[in-house]
Amino acid sequence: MSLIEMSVSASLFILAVFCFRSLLLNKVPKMTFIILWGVALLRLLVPVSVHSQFSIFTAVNDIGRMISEKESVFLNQSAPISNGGTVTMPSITDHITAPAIPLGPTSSLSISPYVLVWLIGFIVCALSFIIPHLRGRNHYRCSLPINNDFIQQWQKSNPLWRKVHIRQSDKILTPLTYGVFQPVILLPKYIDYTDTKQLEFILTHEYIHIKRFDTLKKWLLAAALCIHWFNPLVWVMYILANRDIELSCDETVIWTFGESMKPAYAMALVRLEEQKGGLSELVSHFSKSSIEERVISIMKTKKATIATLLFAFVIVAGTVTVFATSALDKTEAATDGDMPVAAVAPALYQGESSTALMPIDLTFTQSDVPQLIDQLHASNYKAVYMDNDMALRITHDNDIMIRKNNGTAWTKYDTDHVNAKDFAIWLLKNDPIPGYSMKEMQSRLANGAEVKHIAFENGKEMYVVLDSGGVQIELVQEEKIASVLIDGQRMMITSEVFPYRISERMLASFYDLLVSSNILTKAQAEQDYSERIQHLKDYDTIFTLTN
Amino acid sequence: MSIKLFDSELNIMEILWREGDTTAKRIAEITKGKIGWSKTTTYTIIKKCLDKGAIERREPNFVCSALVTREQVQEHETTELINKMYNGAPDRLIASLLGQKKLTSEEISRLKQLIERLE
Repeated sequence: MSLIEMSVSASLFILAVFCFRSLLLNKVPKMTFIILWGVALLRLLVPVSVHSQFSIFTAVNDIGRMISEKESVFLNQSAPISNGGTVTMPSITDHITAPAIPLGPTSSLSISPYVLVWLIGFIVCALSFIIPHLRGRNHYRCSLPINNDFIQQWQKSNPLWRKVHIRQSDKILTPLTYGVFQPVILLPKYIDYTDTKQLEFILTHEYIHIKRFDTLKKWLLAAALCIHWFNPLVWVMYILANRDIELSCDETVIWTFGESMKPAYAMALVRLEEQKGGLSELVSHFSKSSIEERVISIMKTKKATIATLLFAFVIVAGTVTVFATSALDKTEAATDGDMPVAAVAPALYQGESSTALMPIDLTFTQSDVPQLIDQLHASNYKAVYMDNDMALRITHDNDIMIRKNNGTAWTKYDTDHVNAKDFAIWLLKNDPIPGYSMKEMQSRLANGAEVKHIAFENGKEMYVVLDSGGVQIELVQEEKIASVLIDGQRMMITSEVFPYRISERMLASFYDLLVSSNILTKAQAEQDYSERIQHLKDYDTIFTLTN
Repeated sequence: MSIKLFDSELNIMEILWREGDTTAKRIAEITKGKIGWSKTTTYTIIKKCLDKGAIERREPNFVCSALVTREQVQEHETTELINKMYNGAPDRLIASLLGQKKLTSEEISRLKQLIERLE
């Protein structure tokens, strides 16, 4: 799932929570919304999709199928390795931002402008949280201990497993809590320390924040905001979720002290506001609504009944099932029995399924091109690949070297590791009839072959299977491109979708590459080249030869 | 001449007024035990006092001595900088979005009426 997809799918959920919140804010326990925002956060931060038959996206798929039979093929097969009700990890290569771009000098020129804009927004956003926070922390560090019998007494009767420090500062106006693991409650100097009822309200309120790790929640919300800064609904969520954390805390204070204390607590809140003084006349609309919302919500707090709890549960379960899950893949669920299915398949392509990913290829096996494969084995390289953008060689030390755009420099390329077992299953599903022996490949994968994965900027991907028997490359081409490759098993020439053409020039430059890599001599290359051309001209009915 | 100091800075001054000239190291030891400040925090606050001209330092050993008397010091007026920044929300921008601004007296009284009405 790409970042955009995560953002969009979470948006629908946020919108649903927003509607429920507007309708039911003071009717169900506030915890309901905290849980719903938590689910939204998960959707925004964790690139995992949970499939459900009752998902709104299933309905969308069904409608789509009714409209267009053709399109439903794609909609239905959107997740090649998934299972009804299981969790599917998307490719680790595309969860951060659209296509993963390997780091390193080879790709420094090709960061997409979208990624760059996102990165700038992310950094600006993150700094606007971190810098004021650090500045604030510097002030809080200068706080003083409090000598107040009531506070010490109260602290003794309310033990927590994290040690809580209660200190005083003359640099703050309202009480606050900071620190996730070593929480500190900071009280302003200018509150009435003889008003023990107010102190008790304040301390109870802050203790509930600490007990619930609300500081951590706020940081996670901030993280989601930084990552999804381009999504206005995430801003809405940030604001509302922060308010709901306060409202839920207020609610619990009321439940602790009893409903008769509602006016006193609301009044204490207003008095704290009052003590801030009427200095700044700059009053935002948010301010009005948020404090007013708090006061009203406090005054309307009721003890949770079985009925409201049940209602809340139905809302949470319903919203989550309908809006927070992805469509259950019906065709997949039906065919699951036929093949072993892994619930988790890291780093395997998930965009489309089946042979749609595979190149259109003309393959010569070892018996067709014995000299070529033998010469390769005798050379310094295990595989050679070329297309219009780049050339690639895999050395004897399994280093993957890439040369771009007919440059001269070969640069080492970074790769991801893929679990061989997952790759074996993926291969069965996506390339059931490859141009080599599937049986042999499966046994190599089962016997400790290593699988490396390379993702390129334009959606092109490669899986490289390495073991003592040599190297084998599996190409993934979402968009069909012309390429030529030889590896330990075969020579493969691929072509665009239609017409199936093979370029004489590309083939010729591939042979040049083999010569310059000391795999073939010039004479061998010329001979082999003319054999390939001959074959294409005389025997092949599918591919046409062009210049 | 009068000088405005925060409570944290006053604590440093108290030590100097009580004990006379003191090395920064000794001040840090005292504040660590009494107030729970780290050495860095104490040094930061000493630096603030130096900047405000409340103390001066002499080498060797960073000996600090008070330049002002108790009478010359005013409490820093709370209203000046006070936490615009943080109210549980980690950031000022966000704090303003969340509505952590000060209310006018009319609004305060309106809120009080609201409580009474809902009671």
